[in-house]
Amino acid sequence: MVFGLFGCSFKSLRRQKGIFLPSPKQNTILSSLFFLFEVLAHACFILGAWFALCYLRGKTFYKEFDTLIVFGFVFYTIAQVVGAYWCYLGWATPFHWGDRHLQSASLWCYYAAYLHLKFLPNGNIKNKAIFALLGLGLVLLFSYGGQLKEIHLPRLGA
Amino acid sequence: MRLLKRIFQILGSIKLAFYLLLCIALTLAIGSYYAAFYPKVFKALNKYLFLEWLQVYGQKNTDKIWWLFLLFLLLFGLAINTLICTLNKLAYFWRKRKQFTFREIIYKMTPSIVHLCFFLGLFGHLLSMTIGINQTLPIKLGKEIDLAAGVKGKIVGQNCVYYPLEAQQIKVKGLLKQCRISLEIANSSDKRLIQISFLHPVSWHGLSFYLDKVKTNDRYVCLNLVVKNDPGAKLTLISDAMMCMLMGWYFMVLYYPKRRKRE
Repeated sequence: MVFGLFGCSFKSLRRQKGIFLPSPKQNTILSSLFFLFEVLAHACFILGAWFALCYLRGKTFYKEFDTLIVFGFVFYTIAQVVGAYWCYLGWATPFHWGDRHLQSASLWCYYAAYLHLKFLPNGNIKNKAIFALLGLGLVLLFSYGGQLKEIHLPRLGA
Repeated sequence: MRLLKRIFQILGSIKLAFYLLLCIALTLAIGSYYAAFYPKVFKALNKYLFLEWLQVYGQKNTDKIWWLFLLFLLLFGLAINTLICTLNKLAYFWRKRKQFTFREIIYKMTPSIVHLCFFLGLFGHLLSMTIGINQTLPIKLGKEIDLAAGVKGKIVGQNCVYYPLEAQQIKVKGLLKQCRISLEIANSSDKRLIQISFLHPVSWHGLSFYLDKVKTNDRYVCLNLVVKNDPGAKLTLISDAMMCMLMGWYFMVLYYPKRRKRE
């Protein structure tokens, strides 16, 4: 996975398509806050998945992955709420029916399900680690799959 | 009576909430690809109320919108589940309130209040999609327009600012930066001149006026006036903000004392 990410990074340096052009609707602090919290949440989810993988491989020190996922969820919720305010001011609705918003809602529901897992009879730490690891696939697909088109690869996410 | 109690237990169980959330996540993921492949159909949902959209677009595209009905069914199930589960918990803590200090009881009730806020947020979305006014009109300077709820409007001024042509970033040159529209609005009893710009809507007599743009390409945009009366939006935004703050506080208290003890 790490090599894959490095590969994409090098490819993007060599064959990048350019910058995202500014839009009048991005000219607000809400836009900056939204991206800040979304990126923080992604970082927590990705790091949490990495720790979960280490835990599944027998390194018990890494059971802190749960804390990372929980705070990732909190940051993601803040991002969604800030995003809803931004959307309300800019697009006249708190939820926009488009692929980007639907995928964000999907990711939020997945991690909301993760939070409820501990209340189930089979919600042990091993199952939580597997769940956190599967979440990584969704994060990469939905949040970074769309960026593949920027380096001339087929677009997968929003 | 026992059967009724059993049904009530199942409807309010966390197990059901878990599976419903997973099914909703999957349905939203599938739906996002339909939205990506058929943007014309689904972007229209932002401009119409749901029943109007169903008549205009839904009937012709039943093969593309099936997931929406499944989503609404699952969300309805989740809303019922959340409400029952929350009320059960709140009733339990209310009965036990004398065993805890005020701070403890507030802390223990926080997840239930968060769930209640989530339920109110869902209800707000339902209101936004089903009732109110949602009108989108192209902006033409000097033309009189019939707006919703018997309001008449006239665009009397338009001032757009662009990025300077001598900007350092070549790609930004000549791009639209901001626009300000002067709109004269009047109903049978009142008249006012309002100024709207991107991200700065104005409310008047229960209607909200927004400036929107339709991108034709990187350089040229068409401006639209959006007139809305959305009874659910404020409920959604306020309950979501409450949910966010309470959840943040709850998890901070839950995780940080443990760390201090370990240290």
